[in-house]
Amino acid sequence: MDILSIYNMKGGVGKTAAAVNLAYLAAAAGRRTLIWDLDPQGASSFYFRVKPKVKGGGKKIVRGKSDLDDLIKGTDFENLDILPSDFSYREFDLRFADEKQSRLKKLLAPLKSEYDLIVFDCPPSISELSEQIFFASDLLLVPLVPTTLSIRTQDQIRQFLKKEKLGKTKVRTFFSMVDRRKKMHRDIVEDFAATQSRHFHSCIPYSSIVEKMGIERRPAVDFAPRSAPARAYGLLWYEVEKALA
Amino acid sequence: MSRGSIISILKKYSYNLDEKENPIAVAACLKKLGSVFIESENPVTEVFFDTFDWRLFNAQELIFTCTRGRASEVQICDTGGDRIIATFPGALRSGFAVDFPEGHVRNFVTARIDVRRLLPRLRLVSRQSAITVRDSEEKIVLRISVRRCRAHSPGSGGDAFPMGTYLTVEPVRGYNKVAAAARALIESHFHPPADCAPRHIEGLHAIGVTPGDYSSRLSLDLNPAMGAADAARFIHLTLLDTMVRNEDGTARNLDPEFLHDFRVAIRRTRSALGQLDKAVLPATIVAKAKEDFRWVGRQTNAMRDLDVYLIDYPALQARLHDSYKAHLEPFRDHLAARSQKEARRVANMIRGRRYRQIRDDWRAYLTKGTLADPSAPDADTPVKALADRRLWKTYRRVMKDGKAIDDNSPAEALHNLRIHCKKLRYLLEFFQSLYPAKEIGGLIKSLKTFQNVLGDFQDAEIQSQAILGFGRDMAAEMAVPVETQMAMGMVAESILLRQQVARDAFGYRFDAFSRPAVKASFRTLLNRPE
Repeated sequence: MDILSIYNMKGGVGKTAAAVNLAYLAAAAGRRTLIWDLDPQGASSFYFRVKPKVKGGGKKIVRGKSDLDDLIKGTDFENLDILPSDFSYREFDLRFADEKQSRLKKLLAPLKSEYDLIVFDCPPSISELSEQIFFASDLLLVPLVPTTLSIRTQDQIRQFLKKEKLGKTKVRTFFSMVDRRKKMHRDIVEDFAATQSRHFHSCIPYSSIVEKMGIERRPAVDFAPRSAPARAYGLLWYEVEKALA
Repeated sequence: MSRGSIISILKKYSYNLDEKENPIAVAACLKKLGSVFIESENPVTEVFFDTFDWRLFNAQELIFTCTRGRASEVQICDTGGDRIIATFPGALRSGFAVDFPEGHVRNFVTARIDVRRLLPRLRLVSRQSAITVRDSEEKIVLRISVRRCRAHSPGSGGDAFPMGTYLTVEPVRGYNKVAAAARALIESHFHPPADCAPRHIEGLHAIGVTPGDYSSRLSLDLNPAMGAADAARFIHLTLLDTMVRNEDGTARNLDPEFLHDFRVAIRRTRSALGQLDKAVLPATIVAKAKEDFRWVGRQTNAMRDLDVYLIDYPALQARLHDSYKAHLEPFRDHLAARSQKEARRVANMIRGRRYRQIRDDWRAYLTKGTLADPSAPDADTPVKALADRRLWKTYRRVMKDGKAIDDNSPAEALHNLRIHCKKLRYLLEFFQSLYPAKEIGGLIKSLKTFQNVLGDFQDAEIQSQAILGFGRDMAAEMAVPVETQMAMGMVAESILLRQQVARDAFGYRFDAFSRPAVKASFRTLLNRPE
């Protein structure tokens, strides 16, 4: 079982869109996939039409008093389940504060035989929960908007991992919400790709198709499979799958 | 394709409804649960596979291809569909384990079917309607499929057998309450029968096939008071049926187990003629049948030897150093070519006049009513008394021959002992039902372990000699590269090493078989007090 986390400390960079579409593509490729919507805003749960509520809330999960198996919901898609968001997840930092770094990973152990891939849709923060996520992940996938400020965050994430002795965590970045009409976006994408080795080449374009996911309430790769973003997510999944192999 | 380990999924519930029921009636029945949609109606063709000896059915597992429109996929699951082992796009080609995706799926299939071929056993053609129930968020919370099925024998054309309407409730994870409510509504509205066999089982019955109707294991139910001649007839007819059932698969060379089972039935027949029928059936009949079945057996020897070589080939090649592995390929090509030639010869034999005459004459004799013969003194002896006597005699022979073998004994002595062990094994299997199952089962197991060493020794003896012959034949037919000759030499050496291991193991395996506890069991079982 692989664990893929879509993470960035910044919000609004396309984490949820990437998590939802990659989870869909993984499931369509035959991987038994679970997406865990860790963000209390519950956007992934919304996209899959699942109510953002779990029995007992985050507190019981962290304490190991909830059986994760009982909280999982089937999505409308084959091979793809979701562990929905819950508003109580906003207290995860507090709940994980007294726990070992390995707590989240340990909680997932019973699901090992049931899933080939777990995708974390992470909330935008750098916190106790983030540490748990970094420790558990086989691949930390960081969407970056091609702006100067945004790409600085990847250095901050790598420094944080080093400081917390999580340097072994595999981190890969990719560009998201790329607007080819903007020169700055084009320049940053080209420069970054030329200088960074731990960076995926797939670029998710800024597109109304991705925004329409909120109306359609399903992944863009499902309702617009021939669109530019769907093709870009397809390429991204190809790169992710190779990195996980 | 599922890549991880085998998983449990939510249990599906199937119902067999009256043929007149339709998806609209089902949707109407469920409307209390939420928004009900009839999503689509599609023709679906499913072809169910199993080996000739029903290995999947016995393991309560299923392999089938499902075709919807142009898309086709292979599914592996348990009989009830509760465990999905794998699904992958495409169809089965030859039906061997090698057709399945490498990794855990192929390992899983190999563990079930080994060298057997999956044969199409049933074709189900249905109109399948997908019904979904959605909640207030328009999320699917329940799936239902309604199928109107017709069963066909595999292959194209043939009669269609209507099987009624199948309804399957497929719960969505996390929405079990909706599924429970749907089941209650369906049961109260349609009153389906309580027990619903899986549709492929119903389909097999519909086309007149009883799943599990063949096993290579000999299962005879003898009455201890039965006369020996009647028992002999019963045993021979069972063996003849096995022979006949394997004729077609052997002639078509569908997989090596057909020939194997065909030969085992012949060997058992010959063994019964030699061990059981003396003084039970008329001597002239026994002598003729012995000669006939010896001839049939001999016709198949070469093909079986080649089958064994081809089955063992990957293991033989794996023992070579990497730099020699590829050089062994011409040897496999030679074996495959010889095997095809032998298979044609065996097919001609099975379809030929002499074999059919032997088989039909034998059946005519066995079924002609009474076999009592005044010149056969044991014809009316109760079979149990005869079994005690013959088993004891053969057991003592095995012990005597085994004790006489030492490190200097020739290979022939071990071969003769192996033959007597086989005779004992066949007698134990013929008469198994006359003795307490646990006791005789234990003795068969002890003998089998001992026999394996002798089998390994003898197989290695034959194979090491045969490889020399193959080498000569290949050299006569074509220019064999020196690397291939060397690789074959290495194979021969590894076979001889294996033979030495078997020889070394003989002593302690025989000691285990001849220990007092085993002897005491034979004595007790066969009423032979000290």
